[in-house]
Amino acid sequence: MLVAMQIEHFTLRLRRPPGALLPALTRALAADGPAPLRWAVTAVDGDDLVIEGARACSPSST
Amino acid sequence: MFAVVHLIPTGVGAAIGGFAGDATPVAHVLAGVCDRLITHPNALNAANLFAKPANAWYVEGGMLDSWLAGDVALRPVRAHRIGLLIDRAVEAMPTGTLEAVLNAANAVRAVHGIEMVGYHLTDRPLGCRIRMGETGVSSGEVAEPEALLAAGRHLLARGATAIAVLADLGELPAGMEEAYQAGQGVDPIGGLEAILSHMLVAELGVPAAHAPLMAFDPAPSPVVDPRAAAEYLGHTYLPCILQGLASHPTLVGGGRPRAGDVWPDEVAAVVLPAGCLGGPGALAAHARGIPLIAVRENATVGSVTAAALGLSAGVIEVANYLEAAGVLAAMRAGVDWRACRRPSVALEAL
Repeated sequence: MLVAMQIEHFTLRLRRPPGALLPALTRALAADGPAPLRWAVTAVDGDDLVIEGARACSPSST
Repeated sequence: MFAVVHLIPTGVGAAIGGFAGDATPVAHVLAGVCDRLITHPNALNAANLFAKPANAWYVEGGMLDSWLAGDVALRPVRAHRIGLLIDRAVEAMPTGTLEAVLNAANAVRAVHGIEMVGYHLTDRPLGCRIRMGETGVSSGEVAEPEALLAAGRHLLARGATAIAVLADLGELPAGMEEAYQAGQGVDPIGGLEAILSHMLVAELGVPAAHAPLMAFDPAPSPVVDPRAAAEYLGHTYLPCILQGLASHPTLVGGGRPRAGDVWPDEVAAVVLPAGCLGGPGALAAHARGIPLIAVRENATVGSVTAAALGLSAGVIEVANYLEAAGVLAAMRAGVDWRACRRPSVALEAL
């Protein structure tokens, strides 16, 4: 799965979703790229959530 | 079973637990008011020191998050066979670095009787690099993750059931080591360490823990903040992770439950810093209806509090860990902890 990949840091901002947080965040992360190895909401900026983490990316995307 | 989870995310600058095993006294206090304390390496790792409470389980953070989110159990293990995975970058480090690592491993084998299958170098340097996130948390990048996994598979094929990994984490950001020594700021390596162990757990399905590969330096150390002092006792940080991994529980799903298994539904509460409620483990526990005990005194760089996330119910904010232990003691006794506070609140009509 990680062959020819690198592990990179990412930051994702999204508007606070209505309803249950975890399923909405899981969907947003899946839509944004490969499943992260590590993530957390690291800040809340008004109605926006800042999610930071790390996941596999193609080297060509850097 | 009155089980409690104790989380202190790594790389967030936690005032308690953000250094080198400095949350160990808290772990003992929490362990004293539950049957089983389930915690993770960042809450206990102290380089050459390791003082896990007898009723505590040391569970890699990514595995702990998966357990809290899933329909799986943690199963106790009598003793793992540990494989030692070393970044090939060691060959470019000062003479004495590999020798210090092997002396540390052999010392733990000799003193604690921990079984190790051997050590193996990755086929190329891992190319790790520390990154600081925009909110101040520590993170990192790995150029050669497949080299890490290939070395892990090599050790598993030779009988290892858990992996201790030592990687060269690259240059520290300017000024961060001095700040850390002075008891300030964020541990710059914590985020990258978590990424490496999460990768091994996610891809190989066995327990893993990381200690940094430190360039051998015989120069005397400065006197540092007491919370960081455990990392200035020797030339490696390896002994703590070997002791933690030795009895690391395994994650089991399906099959026949065994006595001793602990399921996430058995968790009475999760105790964590009040500004760190945005991780997958905390959110999964909250979604299951497990109370979160949020400790305000354990300040971090983040302020992802219950109020910020809009978690209106299911979070008990307390001033410090001593108050958290009191709330847990009340829960264990079957007492509504609010009955121990004043003013009393009259029953409301619903």
